[in-house]
Amino acid sequence: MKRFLSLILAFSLLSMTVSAWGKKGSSSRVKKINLVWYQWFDAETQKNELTPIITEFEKTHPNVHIELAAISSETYWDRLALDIASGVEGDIITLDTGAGMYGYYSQREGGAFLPLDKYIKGKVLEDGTSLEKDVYLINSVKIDGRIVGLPYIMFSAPMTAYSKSKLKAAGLTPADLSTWDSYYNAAKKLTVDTNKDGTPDVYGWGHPTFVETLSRWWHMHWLWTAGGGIFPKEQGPYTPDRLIFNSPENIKAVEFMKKMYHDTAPQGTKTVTDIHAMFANGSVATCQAAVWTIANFKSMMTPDQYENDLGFAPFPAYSADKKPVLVSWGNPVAISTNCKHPDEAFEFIAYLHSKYAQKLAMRRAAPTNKLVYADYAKIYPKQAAFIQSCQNFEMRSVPDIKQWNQFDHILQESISSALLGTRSVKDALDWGQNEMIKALKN
Amino acid sequence: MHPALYRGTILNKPSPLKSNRESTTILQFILPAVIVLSIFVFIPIFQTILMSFQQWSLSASSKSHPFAGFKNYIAVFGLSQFKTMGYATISYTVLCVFGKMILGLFVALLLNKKFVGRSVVRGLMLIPWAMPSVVVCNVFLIALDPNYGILSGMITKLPFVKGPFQVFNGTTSAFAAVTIIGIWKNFPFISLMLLAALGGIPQDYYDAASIDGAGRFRQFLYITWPQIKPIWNTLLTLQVLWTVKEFELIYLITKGGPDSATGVIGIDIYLNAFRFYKVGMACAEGVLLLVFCLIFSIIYFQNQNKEGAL
Repeated sequence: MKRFLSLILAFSLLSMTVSAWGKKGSSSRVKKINLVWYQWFDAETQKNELTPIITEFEKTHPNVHIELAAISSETYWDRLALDIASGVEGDIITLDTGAGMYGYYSQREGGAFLPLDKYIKGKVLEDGTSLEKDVYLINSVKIDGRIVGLPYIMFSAPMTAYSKSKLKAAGLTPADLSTWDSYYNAAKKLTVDTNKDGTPDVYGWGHPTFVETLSRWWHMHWLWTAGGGIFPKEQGPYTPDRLIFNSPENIKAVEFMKKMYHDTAPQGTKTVTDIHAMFANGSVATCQAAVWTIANFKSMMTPDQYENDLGFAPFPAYSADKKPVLVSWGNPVAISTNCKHPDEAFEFIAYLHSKYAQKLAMRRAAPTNKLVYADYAKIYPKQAAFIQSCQNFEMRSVPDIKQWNQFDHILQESISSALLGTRSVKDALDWGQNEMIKALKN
Repeated sequence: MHPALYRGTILNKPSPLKSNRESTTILQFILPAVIVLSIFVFIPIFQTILMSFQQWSLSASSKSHPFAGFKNYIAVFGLSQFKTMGYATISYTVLCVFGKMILGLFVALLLNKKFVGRSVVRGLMLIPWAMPSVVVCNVFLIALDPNYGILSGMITKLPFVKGPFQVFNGTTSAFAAVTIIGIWKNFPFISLMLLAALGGIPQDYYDAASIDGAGRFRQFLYITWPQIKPIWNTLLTLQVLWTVKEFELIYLITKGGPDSATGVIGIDIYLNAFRFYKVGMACAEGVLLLVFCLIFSIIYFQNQNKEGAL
């Protein structure tokens, strides 16, 4: 009996030890929550902005690890579409309000991104930022009346970037860039063939002719400023009968761009990068630039050139009574409906709107946290002045439709054909209109 | 050979046991290849054919892909750029293959001669083929840039060229440029193969022909050509099959433009599948391309068999 009791006692002790060890073991080996963040930003942004933000966040959330999925900007949208279709997309997804956000959302029955309204309601960050009150564009990321993303950063485009020294040498002032007609005359004056070999050494204007996936930034403001666009004021309903792509206003706009391109710009198929590189190296005197290109100019120019020679003027008005219409958009971050840890994912995307994270993002974009604007001008004066100047004008976004990628391609093809002269402007825009009608019908 | 073995293999019918063992051995050898081919070739082809008959769009939220009959095929034939695409694909294939084969043959004949530094020249010849397409395309894009391109600068200086030389701005010139770049990039492969074939022709044939008074052209026609013809025919088939589905080179240079002048079927498949998310339609285009390649291969091999029989 004694032996039996001692055996039971030993067994109980052993079981207790094992279970206690097991509990201790399980708590010490808690598996970290891994959240994959899909984004396309360049290596410098990842190093100087995203990684420090993640490090700070992980300090206060030791059970969460944010994994940056480094996807190139060229392949990002294709990859995202394929991954959503296959159900393997990241937990946190960076989007673009001007790149057919609705298209990606509608890839999954019931929506590919989680509605965030219940998370946002009453949410105040430790630094006092209220997501409901202190974040710009919060209502621009609504689908079917529900907020599906938090606008992390925002952009405005374009301003006209110019070389102060070149303008001065040609006897011009920034006021000469204020209307389309005066801009044309100024660009003609700035186009110089110093060695008389028939090819200008400095072009008065630079414009990208190949902007597939980016047409919304580099073509649309010309059409809007002339009174045209794709749909009237880019507002729905987006039906074929409301398309105005071959409107007389658009024809006027593209005719003007063609004249500018032919008489004052570097010829051939040029990308945005080509034009901005030519501006930075001095072979283009003026071009349109977006807020994030300021950081690129800084890395391409000498410090003296960046500080003293780079100037910005507002995008030219069509005429005295037709003011510029600019482009605005944001990069919201959304949570995939496939995310297994939506609470933690929301904590992270909320942290992206903290003052600390927003100040880091100022380098290349406008912050969406209203509370950091006082510091913006101190930290990045050129960027802050750029954004402030843009805010004086009407800003639009391209229509958020499922067929946006097709529209983007059509827009690019038709304007490029018109500029390169393979089609007349009217033929190019008629072709574009017909293709857009087909895209909407299919 | 041992008489018993001789009887067993040739004269006598193989025993069922041995036959089974041989079948198992054969199966063991081909099974890995069959598995790999099934996973990476047959199943994807079957899946593509299946998807080409389904309503398959990445931008549609539904998980079901209902049977759509020939709707995707009709949509392909109804594309506004279908005629341009067909014309561009066929013209590019014909001109590019013709150019590659002729230039490849010419260079192979030249490099088959003995001269100082022949092996160095043979090595240098391979550079365009060995270079990645991205590099080749960027080199040409820079060299032909109307503003700072070295080639376009030289061409602009020619007396009959008016204004800056803008090769990628015109539909015909852009098409000609990508075709020439395609030829330049790939002709070394043809030369290499034909050089190997030329190296196998005994010198005695040419010596005998010279004694009989045959000139260089006759020597080529009656000795060289019959000897290299089998390799030539194989290369021709391979080149047609490879060129008709060209994508990367054209996409990197012109993206199919201007005005879809260089928009071959490979580019349209890419756009439909990955930019417009019309996967069903892209699959239908892929199947049409597959059918073309199959028909071409069958006709070619039938002709080969006929020639062999003659």
